[in-house]
Amino acid sequence: MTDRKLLRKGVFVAISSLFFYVALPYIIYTKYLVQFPQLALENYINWIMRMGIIIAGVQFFKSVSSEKTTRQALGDLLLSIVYLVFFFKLFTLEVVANVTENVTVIISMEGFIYLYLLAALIGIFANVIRVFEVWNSARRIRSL
Amino acid sequence: MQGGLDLFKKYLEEFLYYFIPFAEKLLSYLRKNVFPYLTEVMSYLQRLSEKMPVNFELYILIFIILVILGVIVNWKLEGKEEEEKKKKEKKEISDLLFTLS
Repeated sequence: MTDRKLLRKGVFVAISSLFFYVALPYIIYTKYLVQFPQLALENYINWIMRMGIIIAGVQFFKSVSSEKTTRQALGDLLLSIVYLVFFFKLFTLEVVANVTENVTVIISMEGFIYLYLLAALIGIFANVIRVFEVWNSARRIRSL
Repeated sequence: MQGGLDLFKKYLEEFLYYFIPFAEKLLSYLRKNVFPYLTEVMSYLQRLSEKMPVNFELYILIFIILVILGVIVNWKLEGKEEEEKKKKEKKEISDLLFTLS
């Protein structure tokens, strides 16, 4: 017997994540950005789509578990780690724009990395503490 | 409408006037004292991101595994939750009885 309400929520969240991270970037790229071949965004969009598939899976795993449980806390932790890898990949990728035949501009967002890394590591640390907290409270209830 | 917009601009300017020097100070402090410690993590992530595969099949496989794991986690969740709820109620009643006695 499954909890259908949570399962429905999980499916909805996974599909919406797939839409925002996979379908939407693909549509935007194939409809509009492909007209600017000098930007060379294919690699960038591909990485958004690849990581988006994993984010959708983790979102499903997190959403199907009920609130304030170890499973959900673990899902949160997993999600923060995946987001860290996702944004790290995006910030380290360079967008090469060939403005003219002789001029090439490289757009890089590496300046954001350290600040984001700090915020993400604090978030992951908080999530680890939360996993232990939820697990401990569940253990106490179980021991009654 | 114009007056409201002007007021918003005025407050925004005032906020930025105080916030930007503070943010610059905070950033320079972080650059000096915190960011050097993050280089280890940074190099690890760099190595990880270089090793990440580029084919979509693996990512789809991870997605499928996560979905199956989610369904397994969800299995028999309802019964378990009811059991936990009953235990919680039992604990509350015993606490109440303890305080009354």
